[in-house]
Amino acid sequence: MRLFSYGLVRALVYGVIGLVAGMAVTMAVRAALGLAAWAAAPVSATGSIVGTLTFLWGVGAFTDWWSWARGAHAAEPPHHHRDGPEWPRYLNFDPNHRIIGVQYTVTSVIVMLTGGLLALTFRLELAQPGMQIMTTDTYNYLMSAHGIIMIAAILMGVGGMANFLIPMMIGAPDMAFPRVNALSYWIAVPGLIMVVSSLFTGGFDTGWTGYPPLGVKAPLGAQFFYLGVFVVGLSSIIGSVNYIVTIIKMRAPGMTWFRMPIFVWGMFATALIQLIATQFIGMAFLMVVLERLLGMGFFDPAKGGDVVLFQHIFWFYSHPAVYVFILPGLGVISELLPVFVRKPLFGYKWVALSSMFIALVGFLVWAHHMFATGLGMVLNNAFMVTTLLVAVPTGVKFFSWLATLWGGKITFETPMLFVLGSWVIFLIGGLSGPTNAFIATDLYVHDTYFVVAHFHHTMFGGFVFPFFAAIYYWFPKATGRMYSERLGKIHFWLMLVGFHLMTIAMFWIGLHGMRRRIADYDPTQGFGPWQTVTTTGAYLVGIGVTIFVINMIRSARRGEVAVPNPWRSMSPEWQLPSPPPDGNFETPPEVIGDPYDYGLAGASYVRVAAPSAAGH
Amino acid sequence: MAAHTAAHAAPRFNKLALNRLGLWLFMLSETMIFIILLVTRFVLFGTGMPEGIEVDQLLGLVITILLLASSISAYRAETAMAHGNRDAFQRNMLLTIIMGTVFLLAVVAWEWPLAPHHGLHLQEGFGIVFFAMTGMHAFHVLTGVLMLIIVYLNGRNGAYSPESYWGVEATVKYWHFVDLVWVFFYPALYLLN
Amino acid sequence: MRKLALPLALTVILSVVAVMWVQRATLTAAPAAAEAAAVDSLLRLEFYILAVFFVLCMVFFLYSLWAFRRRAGETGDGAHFHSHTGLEIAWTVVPVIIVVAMGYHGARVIADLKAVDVPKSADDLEVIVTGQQWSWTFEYPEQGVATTDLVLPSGRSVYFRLRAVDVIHSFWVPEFRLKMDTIPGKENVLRLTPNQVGEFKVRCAELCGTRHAYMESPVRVLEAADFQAWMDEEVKIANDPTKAGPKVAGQFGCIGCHSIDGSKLVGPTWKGLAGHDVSLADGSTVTADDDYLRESIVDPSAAIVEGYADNVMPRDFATRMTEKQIADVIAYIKTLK
Ligand code: HEA
Ligand code: HEA
Ligand code: HEC
Ligand code: CUA
Ligand SMILES: [Cu+2]
Repeated sequence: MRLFSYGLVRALVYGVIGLVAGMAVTMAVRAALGLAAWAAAPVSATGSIVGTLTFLWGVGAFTDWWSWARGAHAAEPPHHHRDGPEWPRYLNFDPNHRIIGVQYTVTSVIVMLTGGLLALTFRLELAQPGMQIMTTDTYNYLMSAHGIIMIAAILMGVGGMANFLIPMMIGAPDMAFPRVNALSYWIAVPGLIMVVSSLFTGGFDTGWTGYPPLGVKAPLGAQFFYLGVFVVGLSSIIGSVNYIVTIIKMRAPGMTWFRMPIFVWGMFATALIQLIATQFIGMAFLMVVLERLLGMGFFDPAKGGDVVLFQHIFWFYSHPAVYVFILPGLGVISELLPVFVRKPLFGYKWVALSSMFIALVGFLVWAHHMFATGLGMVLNNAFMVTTLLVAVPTGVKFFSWLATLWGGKITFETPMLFVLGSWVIFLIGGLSGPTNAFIATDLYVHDTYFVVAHFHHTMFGGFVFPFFAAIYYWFPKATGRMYSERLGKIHFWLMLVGFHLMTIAMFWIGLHGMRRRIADYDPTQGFGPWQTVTTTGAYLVGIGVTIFVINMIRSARRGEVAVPNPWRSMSPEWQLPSPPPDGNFETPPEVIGDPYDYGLAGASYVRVAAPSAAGH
Repeated sequence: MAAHTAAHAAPRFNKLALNRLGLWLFMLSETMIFIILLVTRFVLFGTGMPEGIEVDQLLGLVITILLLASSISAYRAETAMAHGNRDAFQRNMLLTIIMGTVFLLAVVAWEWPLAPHHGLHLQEGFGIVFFAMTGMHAFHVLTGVLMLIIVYLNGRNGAYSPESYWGVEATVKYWHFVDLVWVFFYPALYLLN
Repeated sequence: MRKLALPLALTVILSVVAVMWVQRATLTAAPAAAEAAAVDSLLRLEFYILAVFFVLCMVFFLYSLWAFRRRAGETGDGAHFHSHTGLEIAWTVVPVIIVVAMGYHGARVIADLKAVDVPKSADDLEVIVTGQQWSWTFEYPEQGVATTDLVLPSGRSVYFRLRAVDVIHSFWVPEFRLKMDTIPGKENVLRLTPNQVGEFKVRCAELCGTRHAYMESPVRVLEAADFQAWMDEEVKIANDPTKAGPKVAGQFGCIGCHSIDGSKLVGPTWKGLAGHDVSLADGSTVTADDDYLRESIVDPSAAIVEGYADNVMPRDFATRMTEKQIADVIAYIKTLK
């Protein structure tokens, strides 16, 4: 069967078989133990774990390790020959970082559309007070799924940018562990499927934070949510090992730490956070699943557990994670500004180190999400001060970007528009952070739409907009074709206007007492008109994103063939053909200057031997 | 594991150095799991042991010594391979596997069924952290033993040489890591009072 | 550089405008507690600083986009400069100073409020707040009164002890500003001083399931004298068995399932129950004495009445009801001959 030659198809078939088989075996074991054979929770739990493994087996993730374990020397992965079409590679277990980068990116966009669609649905309900089109339970399910699905989309997007860019930017042939790299992508897929399937298995009404005891009582969908996030977390961890090793060990000759492209610095800090923090959300969720399945009362005070302990473990990941969301995005901003301003990045060293500082201090602030749990004054104050300190390195970035703009020759192509847009949005998002950090004001705005507006600003400004900028900017690199500039600009303006309509109203009603995570609100508080504005804005964003999707699909198939270096960038990846051959550089590039010496006559960053036509 | 790009990588990158760094990072990440479990134990039950818990001190001591001893034999297996002494390698590997398996059985097949008689219940009280910690550790021991078996079998088929024995090194390092975790778990579960 | 003059001037002017706007705007819900003044003025202070930074950044940003745009026909690159140590130190150190000073100030504000993490003082009115899916109960332990509406005197500080039965909830009256979670297995405290007579709502601020959006209870702040009158009335009710029992039965929803007129609802009727024989689902018969009634309330599964299902009657009344309330409702049942 032709269809079966595509890893994805094989994986899905194997995955379903594994799911069913896992469930059947569990039921048989239960029956043998004298229990009722069917119990939805344990049966589906083992089923989905087995299904995840068979999914990976089906896609071919284990083939090489299996033959290694059986004593054979690992086979070289099949070399790709350029005669056939390239697209089947994207559906297979392919160890090439560029392919994996595109796989991650496309997955991220699909997942983001799913999460966005949920948001657009529940925004309709919120447009007016009273319940019009759904029950409060449905609202809670949609809202919770929206949160976690969007966050999963971010993690995929980060993986996409990291994989596509790191090796090319540092002049390496590929990642340090290509096979592990492919595994980190493919393991995320069943995780995402589980997270999304939570909606169809009963939903979960806990918000993305999944706090017990509510999370223990939530419907079966919660189990899929917890397990799915656990699996996606594994993907993050595996990926981060690769990024760190690659960055430390595989830089081109002459590329010292302070001569790396700035995006790589952002990714390095990000990977450190992912490596260390991700285990915490994994364990927190695993412990809840164990409480649900086996009754182990980690978080049940009646059994000697502690409710607040969960929140400490959870936020020890989830606060640093917000910097996982933004550091790559801020890296993209720093990376693109010099190119479109035609000027060096101002204060390179400080900008690079500020990422590290944000990552480090980010580990010391988690309890600012927990002021209302009654931690006691000493802890509260300590966390307030550390939280405020994060403003300093972030400010360094903003001021350095301003100085980069100063005196430039600025042009406004679509990627640059998105960079500038994210600058404004993230500024507002960041500046709304300290209000949450002060204990006295947080005890007022906590769990209101002020916080909702804060984090949509930071995530759109720190991830969504830079991600779009990156997609437009490196689109010619990935496809060899140019996107439509006109559609790109329409997309940008719709997003910018729509987004602000959406969030400015959120800030305002939040300050006036609109609680978050409520399906219906008290009409006497007068929030109705503002909510209508928010919904309108949301739909403008939705239209913008739809235009983006159309643009991408059309341009990838029939776009104009791109010139080799459309942005006149000095960065190594633009010295390669588009798309680059496997192994990237024929001979390692040599670093001979600083990365952003635009405006200095005769300056160049790397010397790359002219690549021959094919990779091998 | 030869990389896809080995043709390019061979002259420029020391694959062994990459592997080593990767393994260290992976173990750093895994360490967090055990830190979380330790923290959970201390947050829920303080630095002492709650009333009414009588863990089997003798068993605890014996399996701890066993696991530490297995670390020594694993180390000797690795150095044996480094010196090309295949017989010693096989012998020590086998010894390690046996000791690891006995440890695993002692925890899972012996101690767990007895635990409820010592006041340790899966669902409540100190039993929660007891089962969670020994369970998570046992899972790592299990993966370690499986790796050891694979390496042992591959070694018997002549897969490693003094010049190239990364598979042995990685497995043995991982085994030390698992043992080290137990060095922290043992007092937290058995000795504190 | 001469180019700096315009943006600097604009920054100053627009900062003043922004600060004046922040000063005048109604940023928050109308205040109704003494604590609101300090919270609101801290919020305003934060917004002044944030507004100035916002204006500074935006002015230079927009000015640069305009002044340094590539004009038609222009070629070549921008000015080549990398860094400026003085500037970089300045924009690191100035925010550090602001942040540390503000952190100190923020810590002072929350400490001076004496609202969280404080012991009860002698003249506080004590109220035990219990959150459960999806309603609130309020107990005044000193007076021995329990209600579902929160009634408070104006001008007296109230010491709330916050508890939860099932999942986390959060006790929040937006007009009183500060909120605090109610957490199973942990008691939190919050001290507030309502100072505006009026009607407000406690709004649960932590997602707690299906009806989280509707987990709101009325709050009435009364003049001290009116409050005393209300309290006297409540105390009277509480001490009058014929009134206390019906109130408890209404408050905990017993009469939703149990009729008092002999008709059959979800649960057996209370009419003529006390003192009579009840046949149970397991075939035995018991006499409905005080002990049986008590057991039926705190542990409904212990004895199932014939013709009714187990697991219908909530099993958490033991944790939610006080001893006195249980006694009251039993006394009430005994009056229903
Ligand atoms: C991309 C994600 C992202 C980012 C970057 C941030 C950045 C920050 N966040 Fe945010 N935050 C979230 C995502 C993010 N946050 C999410 C998702 C939640 C809600 C989770 C949930 O409950 O569901 C949340 C919630 C949240 C809370 C808890 C609110 C509550 O629930 O009560 C707090 C409290 O302190 C907080 C603070 C901050 C601060 C101080 C920063 C700082 O890092 C911001 C620093 C930046 C600036 C300050 C702007 C630039 C600086 C200057 C121009 C210099 C001058 C400025 C000064 C001197 C002030 N955030
Ligand atoms: C990256 C993260 C991200 C992004 C991009 C968004 C995007 C959006 N978010 Fe989301 N949001 C979160 C992360 C994010 N959100 C998180 C973490 C929460 C917290 C959840 C919790 O409390 O637990 C949250 C909560 C949240 C709330 C609060 C709910 C509540 O508290 O009750 C609201 C309310 O308005 C909201 C709205 C929106 C809207 C309207 C968008 C819009 O921008 C969406 C725009 C639409 C699209 C991007 C998709 C367009 C698609 C189409 C038009 C269909 C085309 C389809 C195909 C081609 C297949 N979000
Ligand atoms: C959701 C429905 C429901 C609510 C609310 C409820 N009950 Fe019941 N109750 C039942 C049912 C059903 C039974 C019969 C089954 C059983 O014995 O458990 C019952 C049985 C009883 C009995 C034993 C009656 C008999 O005939 O022997 C008593 C006493 C009682 N309830 C008291 C109360 C009190 C007091 C409250 C409120 C504090 C209350 N119930 C609230 C459903 C309810
Ligand atoms: Cu109770 Cu929300
Ligand atoms: Cu945070």
